[in-house]
Amino acid sequence: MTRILFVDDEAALLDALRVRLRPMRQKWEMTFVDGGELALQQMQQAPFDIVVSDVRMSGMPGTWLLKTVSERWPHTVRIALSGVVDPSEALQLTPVAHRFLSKPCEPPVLEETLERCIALRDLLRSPALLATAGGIRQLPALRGTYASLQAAMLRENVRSHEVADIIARDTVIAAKVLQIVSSAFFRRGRRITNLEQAVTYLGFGALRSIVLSAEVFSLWPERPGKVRWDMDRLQQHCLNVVSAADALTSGTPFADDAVTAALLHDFGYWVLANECPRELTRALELSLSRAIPLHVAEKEVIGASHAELGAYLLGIWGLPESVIEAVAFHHTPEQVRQSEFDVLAALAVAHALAPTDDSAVFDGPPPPDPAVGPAYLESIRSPFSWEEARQRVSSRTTAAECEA
Amino acid sequence: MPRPVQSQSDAGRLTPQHLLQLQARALDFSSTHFMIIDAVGPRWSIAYVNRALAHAHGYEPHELIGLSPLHLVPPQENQVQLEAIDKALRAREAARSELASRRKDGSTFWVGVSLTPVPDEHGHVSHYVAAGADITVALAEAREKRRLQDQLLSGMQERERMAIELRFAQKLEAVGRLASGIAHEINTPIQYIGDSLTFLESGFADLRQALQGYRAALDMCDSAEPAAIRERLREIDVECDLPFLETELPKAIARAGDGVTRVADIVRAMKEFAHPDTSEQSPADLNRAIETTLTVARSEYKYLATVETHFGEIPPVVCNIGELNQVFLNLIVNAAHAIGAAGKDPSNGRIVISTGCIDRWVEVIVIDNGCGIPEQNLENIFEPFFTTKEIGKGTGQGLAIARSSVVDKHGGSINVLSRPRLGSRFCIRLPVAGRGAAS
Repeated sequence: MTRILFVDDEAALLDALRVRLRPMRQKWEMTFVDGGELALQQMQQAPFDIVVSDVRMSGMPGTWLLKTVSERWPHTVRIALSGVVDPSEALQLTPVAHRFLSKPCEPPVLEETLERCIALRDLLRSPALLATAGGIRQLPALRGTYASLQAAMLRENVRSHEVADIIARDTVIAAKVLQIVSSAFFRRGRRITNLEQAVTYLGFGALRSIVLSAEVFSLWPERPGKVRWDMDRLQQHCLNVVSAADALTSGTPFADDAVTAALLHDFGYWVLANECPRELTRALELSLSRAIPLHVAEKEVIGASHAELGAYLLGIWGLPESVIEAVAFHHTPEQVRQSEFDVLAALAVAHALAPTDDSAVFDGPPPPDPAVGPAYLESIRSPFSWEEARQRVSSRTTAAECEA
Repeated sequence: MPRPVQSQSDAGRLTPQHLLQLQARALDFSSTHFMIIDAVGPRWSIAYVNRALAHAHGYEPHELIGLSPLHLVPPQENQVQLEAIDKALRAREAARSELASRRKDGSTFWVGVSLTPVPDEHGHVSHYVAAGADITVALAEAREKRRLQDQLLSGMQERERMAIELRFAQKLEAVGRLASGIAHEINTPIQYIGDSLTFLESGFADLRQALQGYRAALDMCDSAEPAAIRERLREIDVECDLPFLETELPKAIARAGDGVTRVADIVRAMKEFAHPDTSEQSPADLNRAIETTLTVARSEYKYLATVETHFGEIPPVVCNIGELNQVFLNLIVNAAHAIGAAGKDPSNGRIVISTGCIDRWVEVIVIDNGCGIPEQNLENIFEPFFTTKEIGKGTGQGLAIARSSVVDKHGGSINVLSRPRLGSRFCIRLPVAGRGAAS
C-alpha cells in the first residue's frame, strides 16, 4: 500500500483532509501530522512514498521540511500544498517540491495528483532509481542557450516569443519552465505545453528569477573530461525530432503536446549523464559489444531506460499525461495499446524519421532501434502513410537547411 | 549754440521764449527717451528724437529724422505689441508697451514705451509723442525673479507631491503585503470548509444507503428471523461506516461553521481596517482598532511571535482611525520583524500591546523582545527614508509616517525606548478630544 504523509500546522485542516480522503483508505495508508518536526520523526520511523506539506507553518517551515526530505529520503515524492499567493514564495519551492498545489485544492485535484504520482512509480520500481530521480534539485543547462536566455531576460524590450524561442532550444530549461507553469499556482486551471504561452503565464518577473537562480540551473562543465557524450549534439538530435514532430502534427490539436514531447523525449539522458554517468557509460559499452539498442542496454545496466526515467521525473513535475506517455514509450510504442495517431505515435515516428546526424552523440554509432515502420503506422489508423510521413519530415528538414 | 538760460532773478519768471528754449533743452538732455512722430503724412515718420534715445540706439539724433519709427522697432519682432498699440491709438488712447528695439549695429534691447496722441488746434491727431527707457536689465531681473519664484513654487509642489506619493506607496506596500497574508489566512479555512463539505456529501450518501438498508430490514420483519435482521443491521453498520460517521459528521459540521466564522472575522476586520480615508476626525475605540489590525496582520507575526494584549478602560478618542490603523500596523510589523531578526519564534518571541488612559490622554504601548535598535540609530528612526531593512523590505517610511500621523495630524506624541538584544518599547499618546482640543 502506498504510504502518504500529510503535514500542516492547522489541526482543523488535517481533520478535514482526513475525512475527505477517507474513501481512499483501502488504497492508501495515510498519516496526518501537525508540524515539520513530527513529520521528520515519522519519516525516520518508516519513510513515506509521498509527502504532502503546507509551506508556511509555525515551527519548521515547509520548505525546510521538503528540503530535508529531498536530501535524506530522495525517493519520496514531495508535494507542496499551500495557500501562499506570492509568486516569489511559490518559486522558492521549485528546487525542493516536485509539485505545487494551491489551497484551496478542490476534489478531485489532490486525489488525482496523488494517484498519478503513484502510477508513475511503476515506471521505475527500483528504490535506487526513484531516489536518483527524486533527489534532483538542480539540472545543468547548456551554456549557449543559458547565456542567450540570461541576456534576453536582462533586455528591456524583449518579447515573449523571443524568450520562448530560446527556451525551445534547451530541453532542461524547457522542462523546468513547464514544471513551474504546470503548478496550479501559475496555471490557474489551464493545461499548457506551448512554450510561448508558458512564458506569458509565468511573466518575465518569475521567469527572470528562475533563470537567474543558481538553485534551479547549473551549467555543464565546459570541458566534459571523462564524459563520453556531447550534450550539445544530443540537444541537436532533440531539435531534429522537434522539427520532424512539427512536420507531422502541425495543424492538429495535439501539435503543442507533440512538439513538447519531442523536445523533452531524451530528458532522461540529462538526468543519467548528470547523476549516474558511470552506469550510462557501461550501458553504452554493453550496447556496442552486444549490438543491442542503447535503451535496452540501459534497462539492463541501470534498471530503467532514459525514456522511463525522464518520463517519471516529468510526470511527478506535473506535465500532461500525453507528453509523459510519449516520452516513456518513444522507443517501444507497441507496449501501449493505441488506436489512433496521437502524441506517442507522432513522437515515435518523428524519432524514427528525424535525420540521424547524431551518431556522434554517443561515442560510436548505437545499433538501430527495432523499426517503428510502415506496419506500425498502419496498425494505428494513421491519417498518412509511412512514405508520406517521410516526405513531410524530409521537406521540413530541407526547408530548414535552406533557411539556415 | 543756444544761449545759456538766464537766471531767474526776477521772481522766477521766464519769458515765454526762454521757457520754450529751456523745455527744448531739457527734453534733449533728459535721460528718458523721447520721440515725436509725425502722423500726418501717408506713413509715419520721426519728427524729433532726443539724445538719450538716439544714443541708446547708436545714432546721432539727426540721422533718425524722417525715418519710420519702425526702423528702430522691427515689426517682425514686435508684431503682437504693435497690434495692441495700433488698437489703442485708433481709440485715441495712450498706449504702453515693451518693445524690442534695434540698434544701428543690429543688436536689440528692450524698451518700455508709452505713446500718447498729440492733437493739433483742430483736435485732429497730428503727432504722437513717445517716452521710453531701456528696460533690458529691469526686465531680465523681473524675469529672473519670476523664474526663481516659479522654481520655488514647483519645488514645493514637487516635495508635496512626493510626500503624497510616498505616503501612498507606503500604504500600497502595506496593503499588498497584507493582501497576500490575508489571502493565505483565508485559503486555509476555505480548504477545510470545502473538505468538510465534501465529507458531509459522501457521509450523507452513506447515511442514505444505511437508511435504505434499515427500511429493507424493516420489511424483513414479517418474514425473517430476528437474528437474521440483527445480523443484517450489523452488516449495514460496517458497510456504511456508521460509527465513523457518527463521530465525524458532527465534527465536520462544527468545523465548517468555525471556518466560516473565521473567514467572516477576517473579512470584517479588513473592512474596518480599510476605513475610508477622510480628513475628518471622529470618536473611535482604539482597543477595537488594535484588535482589528492584529486580525488583518496576523500572517505578519504569527510565525514569529505570540501577541499579548492588555486593554485598559479607555474613552473613545477623536481621531482619524484609518490613519491610526496604519500606525498600529507599522508598529506591529516592525515588532515582528525585530523578533524575526533576533532569531526567535512564537515560543519565545513576544509582542505586548497595552492601552491606558492618563488624564485626557490615551496611551498605546507596543513592546517587543526583538533585536532592539542600536543607539546610534535611535534618533533617526522617525526620519523619512531611514531604514535598516534590506532593499525591497520596506520603504523606510513606516515610522516617519507614524510620527507625522500621531504628532502632526493628531497632536499626540510618539517615543521609543530600545536596548539592543533586549527589545523595543514604542509609546504613543493621543489627546482624547482630538488635535483641536489639545492645542
